[in-house]
Amino acid sequence: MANRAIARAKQLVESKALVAPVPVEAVVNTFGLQVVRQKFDGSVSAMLYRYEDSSGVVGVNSTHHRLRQRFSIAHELGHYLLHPGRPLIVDGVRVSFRNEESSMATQPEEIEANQFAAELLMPSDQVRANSLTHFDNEAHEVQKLASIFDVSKDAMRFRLVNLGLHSVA
Amino acid sequence: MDEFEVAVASAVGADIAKRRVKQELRQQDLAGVIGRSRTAVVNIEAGQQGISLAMFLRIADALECEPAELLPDQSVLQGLISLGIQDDDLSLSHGRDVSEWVRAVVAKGRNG
Repeated sequence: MANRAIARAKQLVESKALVAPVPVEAVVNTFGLQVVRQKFDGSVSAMLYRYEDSSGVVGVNSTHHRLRQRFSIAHELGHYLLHPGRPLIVDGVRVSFRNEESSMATQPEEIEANQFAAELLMPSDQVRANSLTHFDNEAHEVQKLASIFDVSKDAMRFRLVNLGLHSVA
Repeated sequence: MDEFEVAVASAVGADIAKRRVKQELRQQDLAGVIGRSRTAVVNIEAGQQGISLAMFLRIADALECEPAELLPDQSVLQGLISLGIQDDDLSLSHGRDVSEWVRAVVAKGRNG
């Protein structure tokens, strides 16, 4: 099935000729979005707020690890490009029991934003190309690729399995 | 109060508290200037008590700030309400923190 989230990220990587490590914050800025880092003591990871003129702010929890922040910023750009209409999106909010249904409803959007972020930060073509050059052992490769793409090892491990390049460990 | 009124009271209360601390006033001091009890100030700052427009202006005056500085951004509040994080006891305290964080981010974004 054609996936519009992945397609949109691919298009962005191509049109801007992005090469790993993708300068995600600069990319976000080109859409009139500003990145604001703000401490939050809790589960909130990031947010997107749109002004009426379609510019906006991407807020990131500055207490989170730098690599997680990178992924969160890419995730919010995914929301921005794929999910128009909502002025405010906050990710990582722990919802209470009563709101379980409403959080379920937005789950497809979360999956899309994650797929977008993965393709933007770890473009499949570039992961494949780099993967061929370091195939000595899988754990070692995860580490090398994570540093090339400037993502966490967990994100890269998941990506490699997802692209069928590694087996599920 | 309906959920929007709760969200407004909560946001305004938080802004009043922040401004009061900045002015180095105690709750008791503010209470004295606006002619209410300290408990009333506690409730207003906690968003547990709606206030009249006249009282709001009196508070802004006491805190030596423009009334607009104490007013929340309506679309931020609407967004928070749509997330359902203001509407029940389970999530109220967490909701207030999130609301503060979101508003701080938006304010920084605007000023920067």
